[in-house]
Amino acid sequence: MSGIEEIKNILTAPISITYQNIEELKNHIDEERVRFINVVGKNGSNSPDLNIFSNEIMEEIRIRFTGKKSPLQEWLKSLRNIPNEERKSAGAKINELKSEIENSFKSFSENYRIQVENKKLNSETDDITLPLTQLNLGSRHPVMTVMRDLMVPFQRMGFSVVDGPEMDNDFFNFEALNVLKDHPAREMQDTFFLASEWVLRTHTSNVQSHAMKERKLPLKIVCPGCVYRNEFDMTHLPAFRQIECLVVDKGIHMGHLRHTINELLNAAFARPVKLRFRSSYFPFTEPSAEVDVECQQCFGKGCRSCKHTGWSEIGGCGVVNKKVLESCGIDSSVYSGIAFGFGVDRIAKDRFAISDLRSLIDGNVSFLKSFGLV
Amino acid sequence: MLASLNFVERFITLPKVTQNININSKNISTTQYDLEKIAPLLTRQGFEVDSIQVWGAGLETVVVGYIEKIEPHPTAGKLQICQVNVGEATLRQIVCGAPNARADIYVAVALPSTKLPNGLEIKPSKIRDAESNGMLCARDELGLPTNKEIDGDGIWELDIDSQGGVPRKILENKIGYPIFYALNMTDTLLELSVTPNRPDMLCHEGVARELMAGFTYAKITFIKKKDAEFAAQVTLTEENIKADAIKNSRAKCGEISFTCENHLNIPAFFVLIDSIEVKPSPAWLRNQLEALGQNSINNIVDTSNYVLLAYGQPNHAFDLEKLSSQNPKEKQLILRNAKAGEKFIGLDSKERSLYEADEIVADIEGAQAILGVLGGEHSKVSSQSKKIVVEFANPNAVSVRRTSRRHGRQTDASFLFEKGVDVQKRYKAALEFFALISAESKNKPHYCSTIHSVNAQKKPMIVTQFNANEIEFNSHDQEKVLGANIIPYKDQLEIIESLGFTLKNESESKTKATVPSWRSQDIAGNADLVEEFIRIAGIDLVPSASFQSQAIVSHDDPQFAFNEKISSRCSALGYNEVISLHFMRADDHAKLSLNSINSLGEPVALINPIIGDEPLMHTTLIPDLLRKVSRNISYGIKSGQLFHSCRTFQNRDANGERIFNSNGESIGLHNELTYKLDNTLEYHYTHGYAYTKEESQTGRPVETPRLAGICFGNKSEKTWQNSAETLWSLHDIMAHVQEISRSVGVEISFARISDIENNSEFQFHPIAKALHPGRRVSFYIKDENNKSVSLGWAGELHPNTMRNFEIEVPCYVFELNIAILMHKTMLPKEVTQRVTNAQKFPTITRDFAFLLDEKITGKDLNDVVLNSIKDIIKSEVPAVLNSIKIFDIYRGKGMPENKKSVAFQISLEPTERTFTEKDILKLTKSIINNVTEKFNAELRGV
Repeated sequence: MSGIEEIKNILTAPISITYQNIEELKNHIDEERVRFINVVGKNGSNSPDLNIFSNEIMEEIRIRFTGKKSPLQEWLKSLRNIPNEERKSAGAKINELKSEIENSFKSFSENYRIQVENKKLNSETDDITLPLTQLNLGSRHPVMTVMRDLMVPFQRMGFSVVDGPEMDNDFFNFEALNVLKDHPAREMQDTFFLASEWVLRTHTSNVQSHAMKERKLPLKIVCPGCVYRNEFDMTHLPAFRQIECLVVDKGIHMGHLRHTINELLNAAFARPVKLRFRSSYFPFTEPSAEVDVECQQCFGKGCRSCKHTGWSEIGGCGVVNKKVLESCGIDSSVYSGIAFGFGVDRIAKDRFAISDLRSLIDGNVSFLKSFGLV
Repeated sequence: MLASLNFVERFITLPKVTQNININSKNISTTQYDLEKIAPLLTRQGFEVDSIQVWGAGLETVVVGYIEKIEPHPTAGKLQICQVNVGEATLRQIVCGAPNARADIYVAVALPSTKLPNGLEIKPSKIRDAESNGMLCARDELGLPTNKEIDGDGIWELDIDSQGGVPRKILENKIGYPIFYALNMTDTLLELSVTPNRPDMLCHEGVARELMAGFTYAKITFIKKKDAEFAAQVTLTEENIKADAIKNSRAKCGEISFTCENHLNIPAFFVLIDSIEVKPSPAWLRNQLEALGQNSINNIVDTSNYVLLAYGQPNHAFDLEKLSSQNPKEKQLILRNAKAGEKFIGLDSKERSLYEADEIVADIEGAQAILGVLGGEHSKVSSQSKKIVVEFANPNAVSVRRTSRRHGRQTDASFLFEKGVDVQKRYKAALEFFALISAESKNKPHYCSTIHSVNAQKKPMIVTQFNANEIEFNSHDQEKVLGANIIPYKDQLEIIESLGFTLKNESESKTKATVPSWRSQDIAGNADLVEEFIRIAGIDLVPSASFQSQAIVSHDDPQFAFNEKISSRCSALGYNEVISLHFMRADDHAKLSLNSINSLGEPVALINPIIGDEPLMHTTLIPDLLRKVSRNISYGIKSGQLFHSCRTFQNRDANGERIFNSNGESIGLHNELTYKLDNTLEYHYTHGYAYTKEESQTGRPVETPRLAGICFGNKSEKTWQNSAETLWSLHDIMAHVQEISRSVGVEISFARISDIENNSEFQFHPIAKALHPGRRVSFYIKDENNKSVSLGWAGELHPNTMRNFEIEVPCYVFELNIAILMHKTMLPKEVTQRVTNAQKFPTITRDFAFLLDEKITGKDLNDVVLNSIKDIIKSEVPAVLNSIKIFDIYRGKGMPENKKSVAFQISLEPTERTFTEKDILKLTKSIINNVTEKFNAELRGV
């Protein structure tokens, strides 16, 4: 391969461009061909050494061999100087070289481009161990994520999302739900009072009383929302979230309740889970039950998270007490209902293994950012 | 309810398993309760077993020993060296300092490796050069309650009955055996959760009853014990007591006559017993009480507690002779309300000052007991007592609950009264009281009589005849409630009967069930009976059944879905969602430099706040967010973004009427909260959201959904790719708000705000003072009448606000009223602005730079540029203007005073043909001419 000097010499060497006859021209053409092959190789097959070839040199080569002032062009212009009968074959000779040079140069340029590109690519290897770009992504609060996920199965089962007030009066929060006047739940120890007859709702069940009184039957509703109890420690926030569902229709019974809860919890845990129904008591349902799901940490073996019982408590449910239907103006001999309610914070606590519920209200950005979409 | 299985076994036999344990190289076969057969039943039936403890667990290596020989320690005066037989080949040498250590007694020996409840681990050691291989224990060293009068202060002597011991005859064969086992003290204690409808489960008889029903259904054999009650051992009967109680209002106990005056109108009767012998309780009673964590006092007090634990019947024995009276032969108790400030010394020796609402039992001197809660020190039964009067009053549950809370003292008695006692069984309990002390005394006590109290109308108040509730129970009830035929009718009846109901069959499918006295509060109809049998059989048997219901998909309230959209957009904008407790502090308005506490609407005060300094329901989400920022900074997190979507509350209904007139009275904010409301824009009570479908929202406090966000510290941090931090700016947060609004299809406009009312130039906003005067803005939307409505605001915190909330990095905040935004999205949409055609021709951009006066705003420039090409792109050069983007503003070096260089780029999308050079020239010329002319500007470059 020619060195840079050699190439420069070829490119700058004076060339005789005049000819008197075809023989002379043929000599010129052969010499020019040799010079060109010297630069780009036969058919332009040389592999260009990037120490010698640069974009500038490539351009110089193009100009020197195919430019307006290149010998080829000059020779074409000079065709009129030779005898008529020779002109045709002389022109053919020139054009032959011209297309040869053009084709070879094209291949050579392609080789050059590949070389340049490879050199560039080879010099651009990143250190994949460097810290990644800090993306400014926000996050949803884990409790809200759980809440949203738990709402999906309800909605798919045909429950309508219904809202209710967080400040409500005795009637909707207690009375209509068969929580009578002297019930301990109505004492200051458990409930936040705003006035003697007004409280911060202690459960989302107040939405049930509103819906039963204010909406048309049949009802198939799910009520997500914030509720309040006068308790504050590692396992209790005074403001926390519940989801509650209510169905009131003709012929509704406990079997429907089981179906709803099975479906919901299988969907929530994304696999069939083992459930346990324990008899319990709530003023607003009869029969009442607490629902336990097999502890998802130990799968029933017993661990710290389930206090060695193998079960973790999910929520309460039951067949709506006739007294509740009646105090909301529903004929209990025609209609019956089922209800199921549970705390969202507690499920979030289990799902994300949060030991102290108070960290949920702390607002620590790193803590918040550590939660994904599931 | 802490249930002792030994105690339950007084009523029924329980299933057991035999286990072999190896202690002190002795193979001991012990019989234990078969918990696998007991605990799951209780849990299923509705009484979750929270915990199971074995009394004496961990003390298996404390064994029965017999001191064979004893000699003084050669060098330590108070110590003795004992040779103790613990059933090994050789005697064990143990050094002991107890004064009662002597030869020929049976003692509790803690062998080496024992860990005592006080944490002491027993190891072989040398005490003043004498080897000691164990420890002779006192009761308290084993964690057992100690009564100095009975137990002395030495080591435990195992053959003394009053110390819980057993006769020497038995101990002889138990040397080396674990003492809890040898003394029959091993007990299993279940902590049961009892629901409020089942106070009958707060005693051991109730637990036994419930287990009987469970065992019957589960086919676990058991025997109901006939000798469970002591009543069989006396001639007195329940009927005698009832007859006396209803007949007598006065009776004599020896030479003393007794009456009771009742000002509380509650049922009460009193049993008078003479010639009692007060002494330590027998071992079985002492051990039983101690296993349940109670202290044994004497036979009378322990009997009183036994009756409570066995039958759930609280009662209190007074020493009749200690009651004060004018005539020592005429004693009287008075049931009345306390006088305010009246003093009372309880059995716990504490002096209390009573309240007028407290109900008490008094003599003429004063309170002798707080009714249903606590007995008094003065008239308690002591070793000298001979005559007692046992009170069985049925105080009001609510009154007892409140009294017990007022005095911060919950006792077993008050707990039972709160939940409700079985009033019919009070007489049987009185009989058991007498029968038990009689059974355990050599010199039999004398039952004098029973009397009732009299009220002002001389009425007895008590009843001795009770009507039982009857329920008709049908075979189809099960299917109606449970949706399936789960167990046969015959089996249902069997379960119900096993729970103590009396059944009268009327036909194949119809039965009358009589509710037992202990369930009279709780069982009302046939759904209850279905609950009863399914609870015993297990709700898990109810088969799942799917709904056959109409598919209704249009009844959703929109807020949940709307909030999800907004929140997901916020998190896409980099904000991290937070939640809060929805409370606010009384000085938050001052920290935000608001004119008054009512500036953002009148907050609702809690009567009983749980966090002392957060007594208000929030009207704004900002203070909580600022505190969270401050906390982040204290954690060392100096940058971040937070958002909170939450309801806020105010003490006004949608018409502006105040709801709670004594708002804040209990926390001393009453006057402040009655300040007039400011003109509160988007915080106004008319801008709430109706969360109910009641016909009118009148009289309902306004709840307003709001969204607040905060950006603090740096927008981007230094990294290897980016050598400098950038700070947040007002325009960042404005863009965020714009994007949030756009995400729900709402366009907003911006306006500067002022902290001065009646400012002619800018709208006043109450929050403005909390914000940087040059960096604050409010957001507007057009309502259905094309009127501008304030949606919210944003701005950088004023340094004062930063100081008040202890924040030391720049902070940009916004808050929006979501009700207004939601309302707007529900209006019919204008869709004309949407570009719906696919692009056909290449977008053209051109850059310009002008030297402008400082006072020219971005909007000014934007308007002029827009106007300069508006007509041209309409027809001549058909195009859509994509944007006019200011990309550089330069002041300072090289610029004249009060001038700035502003560079911007316009982006145009041709709609009919590709632009020619001529087209472009036409547009640029028009822009240059207009800008230079209108602003007297100088073109710096194109």
